[in-house]
Amino acid sequence: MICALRSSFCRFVRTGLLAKVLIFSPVLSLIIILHTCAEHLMMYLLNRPRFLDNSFIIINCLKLVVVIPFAAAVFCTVFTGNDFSSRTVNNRIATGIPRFAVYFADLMVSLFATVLSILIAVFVFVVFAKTVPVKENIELNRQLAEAAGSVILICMAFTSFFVVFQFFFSNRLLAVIVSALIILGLMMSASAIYSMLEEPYRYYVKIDEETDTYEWRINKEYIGGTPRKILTFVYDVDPYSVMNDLIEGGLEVAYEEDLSKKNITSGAVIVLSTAAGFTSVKKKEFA
Amino acid sequence: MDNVLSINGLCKDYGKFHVLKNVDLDIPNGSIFGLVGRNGAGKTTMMRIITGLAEPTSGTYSIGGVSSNDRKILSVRRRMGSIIDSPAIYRNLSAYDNVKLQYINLGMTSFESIPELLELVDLQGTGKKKAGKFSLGMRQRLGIAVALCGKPDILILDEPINGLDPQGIIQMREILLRINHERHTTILISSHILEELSKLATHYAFIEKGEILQTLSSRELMGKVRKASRLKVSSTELLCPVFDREEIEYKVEDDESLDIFSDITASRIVGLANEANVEVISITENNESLEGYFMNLVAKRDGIT
Repeated sequence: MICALRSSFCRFVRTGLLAKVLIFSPVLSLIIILHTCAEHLMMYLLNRPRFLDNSFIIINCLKLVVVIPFAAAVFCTVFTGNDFSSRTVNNRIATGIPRFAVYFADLMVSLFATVLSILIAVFVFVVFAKTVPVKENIELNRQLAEAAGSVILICMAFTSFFVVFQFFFSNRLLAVIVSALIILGLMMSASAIYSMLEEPYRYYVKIDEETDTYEWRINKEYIGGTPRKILTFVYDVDPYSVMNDLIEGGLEVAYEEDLSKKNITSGAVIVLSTAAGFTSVKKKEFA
Repeated sequence: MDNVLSINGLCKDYGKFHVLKNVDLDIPNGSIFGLVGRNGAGKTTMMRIITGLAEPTSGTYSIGGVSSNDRKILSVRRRMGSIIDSPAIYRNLSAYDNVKLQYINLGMTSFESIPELLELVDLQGTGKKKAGKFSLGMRQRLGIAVALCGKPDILILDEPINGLDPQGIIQMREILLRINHERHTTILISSHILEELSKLATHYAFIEKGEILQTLSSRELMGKVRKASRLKVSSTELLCPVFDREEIEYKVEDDESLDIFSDITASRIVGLANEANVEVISITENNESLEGYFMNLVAKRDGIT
């Protein structure tokens, strides 16, 4: 196991992937900062508060949920996928390193890269927020830690899923396409479910122009009962509902919308995908 | 001579397709064991199973006396180096780093012997040049260096000279012979270039459609290959009816040359040629090649004479 971990981390450093993570993460965080600042400028124009507080950092953190999974898919392709395409993974298997150790080592490096990337981004957000002149009560508090923790867990879940794909398909192109499709699918489903859940149960409609009479009518688009409960559950555990809530309801809604449910889901995905990875690698035929 | 690798009743099925059928094989210690077979015969599959890249459907193998069913097989694999199909190297790393990574895979902490290993495969002085910029021959040699990490007792090489130019083939042959002689490393090697394999191997196994047809040493092979005389004449067409009449075993190569396998003197050949009004240009020794022996073996198996 130690050999496998040493080998994977050495490969991570020697192939320049660590350097790429160290360069990519600050660049990504600066782009997110610019994006959020542009939104703040809009709020300033609409006479909203123009100072930066902790919400600025939390919003930026939550935005990482959109970008980091894509980056993780690319990372897994370059790190694990290339190992399969060049068949260098065979060297590790043939030297007697247990298969599960090979999988575990690659998973650990991929998770490490994901967490490192997020921590660098959060660090840049905090440093930026603390150094700009228009700031108020910027502090490392529990709310910020919880938001960052949730983002880390969600992104780790994606990463562990993508590592399984690379081992399962042994084809980096196919694996990265499936990974991207899953991200896009989750994004679209969050948005679609949001619009379905937002349909009002009743709506007020004018029934007579002359007498100016209105009445409440049942909205046929509204989903009730068990289907609605299922949709609500799916929406709650979908990582991209955070972004929806952020766009539609602002930070408070996004934050208060049960992040702990997403944490539990993310934890379950990590455990299940790791178990699936161990099972698939045990039976895998290496080319 | 002890066997460093023994295969017992090894079978591998992919669905209804039987790739390996009850393969038994013993690889003697210190030998260069040539595995000869056509494409799809099961050579690579067998090597993949031995190296742990695939699991057998049934049967076992033992490396250094440790059975594949024993958990110790993982640690024994450290005493084995391999190249399956093509060298597994990181193209964005230098030769030194590639070898170093394999050292780490093997749990080695001292990297002092890396320059010596690179020198053995003639890759000293490649410096920081990435393996992706190496020629095919250099990459193959780097693959050998990676396989040689940890001074393995057995080296498993699947088509290591595929695609190499004549100079690369000679260089590879010299390296393999040096490894075998100086390090006493047993080499299990498969190749389509049988002429080249015959210059290396001390033992052979002929495999066809997942079955081992025959195993023998190169000395035994020398005794078994058909002795032939290459006859160059003005016309084989006129000579053949005479040879047929005399029940002489021969094989026509082209319009002007044929191989005679029957034990027959040169004077009789000349006499028969005169009878057929054919001019004899030359008679030379032309014993059956490894390729010819293999093809003959396969033909016998398939019932073709």
